[in-house]
Amino acid sequence: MGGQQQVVVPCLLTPSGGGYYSSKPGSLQLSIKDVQGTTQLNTTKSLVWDITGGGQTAVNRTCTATTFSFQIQAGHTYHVHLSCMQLPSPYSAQAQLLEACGQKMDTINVTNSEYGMVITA
Amino acid sequence: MKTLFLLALLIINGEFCLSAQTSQPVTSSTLSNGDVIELAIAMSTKTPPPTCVAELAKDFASSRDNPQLLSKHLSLLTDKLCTTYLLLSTPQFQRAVAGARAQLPILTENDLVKYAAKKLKAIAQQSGSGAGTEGSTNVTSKGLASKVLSIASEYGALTESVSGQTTTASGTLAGVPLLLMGKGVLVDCATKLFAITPCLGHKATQTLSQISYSVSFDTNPNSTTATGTATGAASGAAQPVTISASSHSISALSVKWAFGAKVDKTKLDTAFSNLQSDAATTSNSDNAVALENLQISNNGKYQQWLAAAKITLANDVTNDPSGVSAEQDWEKLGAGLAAALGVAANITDQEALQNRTIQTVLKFAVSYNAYLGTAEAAGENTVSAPFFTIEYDVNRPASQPSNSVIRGIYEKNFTQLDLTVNGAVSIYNSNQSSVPGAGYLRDVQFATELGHDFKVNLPLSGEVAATLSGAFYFQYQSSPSILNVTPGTPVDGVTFTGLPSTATQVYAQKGNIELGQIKLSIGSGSSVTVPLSVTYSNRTELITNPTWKAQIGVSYDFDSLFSNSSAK
Repeated sequence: MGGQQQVVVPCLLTPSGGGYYSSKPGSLQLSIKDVQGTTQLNTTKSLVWDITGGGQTAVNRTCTATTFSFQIQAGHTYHVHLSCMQLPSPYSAQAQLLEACGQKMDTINVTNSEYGMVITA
Repeated sequence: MKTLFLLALLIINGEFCLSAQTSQPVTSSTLSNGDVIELAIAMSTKTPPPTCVAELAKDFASSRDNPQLLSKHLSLLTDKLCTTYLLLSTPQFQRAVAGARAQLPILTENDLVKYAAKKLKAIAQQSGSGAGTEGSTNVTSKGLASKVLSIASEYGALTESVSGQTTTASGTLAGVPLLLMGKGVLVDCATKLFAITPCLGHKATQTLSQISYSVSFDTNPNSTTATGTATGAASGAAQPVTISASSHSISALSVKWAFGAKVDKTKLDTAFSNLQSDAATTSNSDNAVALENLQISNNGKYQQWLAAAKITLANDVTNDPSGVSAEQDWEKLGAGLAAALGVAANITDQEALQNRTIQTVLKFAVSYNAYLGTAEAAGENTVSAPFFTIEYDVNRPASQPSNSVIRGIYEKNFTQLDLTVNGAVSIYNSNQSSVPGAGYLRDVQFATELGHDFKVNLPLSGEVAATLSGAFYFQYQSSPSILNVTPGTPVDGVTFTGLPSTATQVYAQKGNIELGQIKLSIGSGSSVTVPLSVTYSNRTELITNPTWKAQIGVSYDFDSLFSNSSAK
């Protein structure tokens, strides 16, 4: 009665380990959630390429300080590079990398602030 | 001569060690002379960076529930720092270092000089302009440590300002370390990759950031005194003399230790924006992508190696819950990873030197350390005013006995109010018992200021910020004010009548000082500020009559010109 209907976002990614993922086709949205300190995406250096068949083609993506999204097509493989900046100190800041469905992908800290993913749909 | 350069590079390497690259990621195997020299000194540390050990221990402990956690530290996608360490510590990489060292003697002396000059220039180069100085209408000391801190971080080791005939150098003790970190020649110990690079702990850097200093030099040529001493025999009416002059001296020294400074979230966006456009960030990101491409382009072999490595570590987790075996085995996995990425186990020194994978790994390792240093320095600019500051000043005013002041400053920001309270004790650096009523204790001071921020509408500029503040200052004079005089040489600005020619000190009538001030600053927080103030005091240190003062000024922050343009 007047209540808002909750939209359930399906998870697209299934981790295989080491930054490799299998995926369902669809719109993938990744986000950064601060745990300690502040983490923001470098909006000019966070990029995605279509590397299907050994090529390397830049893919349109939408990037803000905390979100990164692009369209995944079936049969394609993508190389995602998330360039994360952490302040006030990169040595003690931590953030969670999440998929829109809430699935935690990884923890971003000083060891992996330049983060890569290979996604195969 | 050439041997000296080699020794300097390989042994006394602090000045020449690995520093940030601004070039594009390696795309060919052609090596520059600089690449050869840098590779020659790029031995990895004997143990993994402490951050890696901590992360491994944490993830090994949870790996029974989530086996994927182990893979994270075996991939150039998900753990660049630790996986890069694995590659740097391999025999293959050490062969590349040996190959580079073998090539060093081929380089000409001119090559080495050019490289050394380039590195020194990169280290010494500072950007920006000097900090401006404020007028002297304040009667209450503010907690300036955070301002000094941020300025020092922006410009490097220290800032220098000139006011009248006084030159002041100021900064924080972290200024030099942060400058070197931004250039990649000093790193945080937690992420140290190369044996050769000196390191400083993160907590030590933070502590040094809390301590600021200020040294003022009196550069007034009139303050230099020359003394002539007769030397040798006179020639008629002419007498040869040797003249010696006192050099410009320190007129004031100040050390501040700030407590309770917090991150000012309003400054974060600017700090992130500046960091994003920094060359170290851009270069590091480019090199990181090149590193990822190494793994992606060798995906088949990498996946084979990863599967075997995961089994090794999984067995360790099962057989040794302490995690020690797993960490030891993890450290041994680098050679296999290097082979999977195209660096054969039996590669020769010269082949390793030219190997594209090794060059890419080296470039990333160097740029990552430089980026982390740049980010650390950027973070210092987000610090707000400290909650409490302890300050120690040594003053050597002209024509007065030198004194030391210990001051405590408390500052609290409310929504639109800014309260500052401070108390100080001033002590002469030598006993002034020759003056009646005087001793070591010079005076005790108390001051408080309450500022209110608001907006005003002006006909020409529209709405501008303004601050109205009221301040009160009380000084208990324990000793009368003393002036040192030289017989025959009067003190600047003071005319004495009836002073005996033998007098070396004069003193005023002592009494407590009470001072009140109301000040309006229009344009506070912008580049142009107009302060207007009215001040009343019952007396000054020397003059016993009450005084009224009305002051108006204009201050312009020239740094705002540069900060606006550099942020774009």
